[in-house]
Amino acid sequence: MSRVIDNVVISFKGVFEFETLYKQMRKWFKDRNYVVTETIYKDKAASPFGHEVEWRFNPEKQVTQYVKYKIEIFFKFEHIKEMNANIKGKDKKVTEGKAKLTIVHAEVEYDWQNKFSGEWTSKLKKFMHKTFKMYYAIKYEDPLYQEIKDFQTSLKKILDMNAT
Amino acid sequence: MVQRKILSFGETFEYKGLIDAKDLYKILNKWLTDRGYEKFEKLNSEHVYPDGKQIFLEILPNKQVSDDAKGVIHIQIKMNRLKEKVVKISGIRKNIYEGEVEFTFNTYLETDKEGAWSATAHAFFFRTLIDRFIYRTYIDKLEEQLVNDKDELMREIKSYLNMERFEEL
Repeated sequence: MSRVIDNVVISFKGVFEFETLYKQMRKWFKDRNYVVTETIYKDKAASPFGHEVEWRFNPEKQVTQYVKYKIEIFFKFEHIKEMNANIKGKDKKVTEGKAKLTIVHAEVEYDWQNKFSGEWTSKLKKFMHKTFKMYYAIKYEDPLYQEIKDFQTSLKKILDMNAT
Repeated sequence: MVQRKILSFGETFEYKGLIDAKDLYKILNKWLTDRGYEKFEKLNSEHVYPDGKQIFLEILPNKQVSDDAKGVIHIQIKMNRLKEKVVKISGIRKNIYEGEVEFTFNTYLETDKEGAWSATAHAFFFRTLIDRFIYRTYIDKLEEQLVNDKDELMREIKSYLNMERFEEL
């Protein structure tokens, strides 16, 4: 496995569209052929400060029979309250609160089917990765890195952040 | 284990006044892309408080200067007490912020990504000898280039902040 990105955080406190964030995020991964598994969905309601919501997603993509992309994302929302607002002349349901979006890690998993698990095949795999290190980095790791950067930009656009 | 040599640490400058956060970010991005840096945004935080907006950015643009060495300019941008203002730029109305900004720059050179040269004491010793006596000029040039890049970026940001003339409405 080759870890491409570790612990990237986007933190936001203000008004944003909660449902749009969820839908756009799922759509973003679906458009890029990721299979998204939701491992945690927590919604703690009825606190005087607002709801507390947690999501943990594990999008995965089988790039080839040998390479798989694995991403882990954790979203935590605190003190969230729904309200109605007029945005650009339209009445919309928005959410006010604090959001912390963490891309926990993004990695490339090689030999995800464990075809190179034998005594000789594992040595062959090691030799392959040592000799063709740059090839694997350019062909598989760089595109994943770019995808994560695009995902980060799209999240910032949805939250309408200034540094986008 | 990655070997990291700190070339500069904690270089800070502050600015108080009108600032276009989006524009500043675009200029930073453009500068980094033009010079072949890969931008990595570690943290982007935007919070709204009663006394204004607070934006905190932690960016680690890096450049692979050789097979084994990577130069990193660690930039922290803290914007505090940002309040929206309407200004006129070349006759056009624009919404920007007024507040305080602090920039901090750290620069370092990372080598031996996979820890091959620090795996054993002998390897580490030979690597140190090679770096000090054989590759010395080459490493010094890389370090100088990185520090020059960081200085140029600081000048670029300072000139952007000082040269923007806004007419407050």
